[in-house]
Amino acid sequence: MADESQELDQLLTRATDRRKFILGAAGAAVGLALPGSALARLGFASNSKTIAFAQPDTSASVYPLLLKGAQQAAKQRGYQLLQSHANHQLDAQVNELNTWIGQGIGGVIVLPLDNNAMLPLIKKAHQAGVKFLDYSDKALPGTDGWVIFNNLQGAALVGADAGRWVNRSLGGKAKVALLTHEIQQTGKDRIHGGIAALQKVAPKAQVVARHEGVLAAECLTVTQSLLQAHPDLNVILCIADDGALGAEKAFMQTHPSAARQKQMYIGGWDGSIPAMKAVVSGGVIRSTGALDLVGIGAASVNATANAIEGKGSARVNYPYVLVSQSAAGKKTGRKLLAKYGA
Amino acid sequence: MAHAETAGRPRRRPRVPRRGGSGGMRRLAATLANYQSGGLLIALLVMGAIFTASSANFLTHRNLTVILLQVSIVGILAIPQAMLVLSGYVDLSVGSVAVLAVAVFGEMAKVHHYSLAAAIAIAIAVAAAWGLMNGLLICYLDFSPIIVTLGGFAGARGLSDTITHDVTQFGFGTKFAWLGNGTIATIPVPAVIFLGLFVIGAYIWYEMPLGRHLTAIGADRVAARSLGVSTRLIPCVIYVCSAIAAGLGGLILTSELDGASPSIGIGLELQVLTAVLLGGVAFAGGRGSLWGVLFGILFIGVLNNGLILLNIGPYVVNLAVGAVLIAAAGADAFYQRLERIPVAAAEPEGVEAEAKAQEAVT
Repeated sequence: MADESQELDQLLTRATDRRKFILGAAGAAVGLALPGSALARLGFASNSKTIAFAQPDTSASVYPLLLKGAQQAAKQRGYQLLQSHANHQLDAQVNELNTWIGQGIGGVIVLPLDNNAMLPLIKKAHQAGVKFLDYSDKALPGTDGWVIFNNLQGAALVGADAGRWVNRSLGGKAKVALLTHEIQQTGKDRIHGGIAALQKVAPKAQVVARHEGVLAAECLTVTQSLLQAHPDLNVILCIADDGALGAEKAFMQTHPSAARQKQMYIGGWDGSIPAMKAVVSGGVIRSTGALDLVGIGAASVNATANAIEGKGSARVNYPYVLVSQSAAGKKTGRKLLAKYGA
Repeated sequence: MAHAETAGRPRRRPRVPRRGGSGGMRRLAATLANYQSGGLLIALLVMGAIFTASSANFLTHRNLTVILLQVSIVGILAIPQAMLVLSGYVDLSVGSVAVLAVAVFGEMAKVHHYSLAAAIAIAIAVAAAWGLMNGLLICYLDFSPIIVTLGGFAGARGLSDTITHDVTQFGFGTKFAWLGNGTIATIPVPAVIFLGLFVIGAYIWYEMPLGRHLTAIGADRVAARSLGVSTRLIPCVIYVCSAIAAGLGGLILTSELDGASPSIGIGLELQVLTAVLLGGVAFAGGRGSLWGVLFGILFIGVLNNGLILLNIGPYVVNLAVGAVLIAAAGADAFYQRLERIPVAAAEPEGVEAEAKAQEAVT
């Protein structure tokens, strides 16, 4: 019996030693394999010099320009920049905001996919000592700052330009189609504001169709069908430049004559490089409500850094500018294109 | 193609005594029953009739051409996808492989200034390599097809984002524009490619042993292997074909837009899978019809086009699409149930004559 218990003791001791050895070896391997930056990523280092730039639609044509400005500003101010992977999904956006808040980063600036969904996150961020700013059309309550672009102001610029074109080119009468994104406030403001401004200038312009469409590929197919229903369409207002490019290609697929092309106006918003080039070159994309995207990206990071450091302004208002086929509009477009290096 | 279902083998129906009356209708029902997804064809025709009655712009040559153009890309991808699903596999990475090919094409053509032909060849080769990786992992190493292609769904798009940094390359010139915007005998080039691939696909599906092998692999892989069917090589090759089709579809869309947009292919896998499943290919494999898939593709294309012609507002369009798809699936299920009801008129004329002769003798 005593021999048996001695054997058991020896076995247990050997097993414990083996476990200790394996754990020790594994720990040493992990320690050797992880460089300092990896440890920092695991949360062993301070995260206060980190800013998250939560622009949720990384596949939009505006994203590279926004990111360019944000990266330049982050480098200048000595911050690490985190990017969004939400891919326009609200649940993914909420998840990644929770992750960043949990990491205790310095601050986050977010383009909210749903304003109401942000309110609990703002509270959570404040409890964790994380600065929370929004980059949107309006300031959310309780934020530490914002970068605001007034979509209704931008909508009025494009809508009024389209109205003037209808009066000048079509004698005030026009058939209008709207490519919208009603689920998002930006979509509502741009499209509803745009058509209100158009009809204020050209009251006889009539909306004949309204459909969902944001990205180029979906607006291509929607416009192909729209032009079958309304071959004599005159104006298409798209919530974003990406969609305007798709609508333009669908129109050109109908092989329109030069005279027909003169009766078509496509307008969008954002001020993406391909859209501004199309406007300046004199095609049927005749206007875009442009935001200085590199400037907004930089302002977003600077405002967040100011909020973290507690010095300088964390509240920035960014106006839209009109890129159109007027002399002044073309000049604005060329200036922005030069700034973007395009 | 009347012997369409289950890759070429017509179903035997039990012989029952003929009771007489309404023979014409029964014969019509029996003829339609020979096509799997006959219910979907009827739903498609009914929907077409409704749109024709509601909009003068629906049943026109121009609009039908537009519908053909719009369904072409989904159609090109759906043919190999249907073959994969038939053999019990699935490819969820097609949309991301499409944008990967587009990204490679844009970089090669605009950044590295390769010729159009070289840029297209490299893009298709990259897509094919991705398909080969899928095929090897799934068919030879027995990884889960859903997990591997879900990995591809994220990975291929991530790789394309890394290549492009989300910058859209555009302005590929008139030669490349022909691929998406040109016509051959008034039919859009993408539609010609789709119809050509459909004919090839249908020949493989219904006329070649390969079609029966796909069904056999989907129905019972072990039994198929014991009968000498290449249960690894065949699906592996189809994965490569699926990725090549995805690359081709992406390039056609790039040509239409004259821009290698990083947003290309978003949601494409879902559209393709919807068309395949709506067309009656069983998700578990072993049963399906390529004609059904064609009807599924056309059904979705006609529905989207018709709703726009009728100017259904943005708030109700998704509801309408969901309702019509469920109704179509219900009609198809109902029709397949009808199909199983013994119908004497489905018997060959000779049998009918024989029965009559027997009746006369007795």
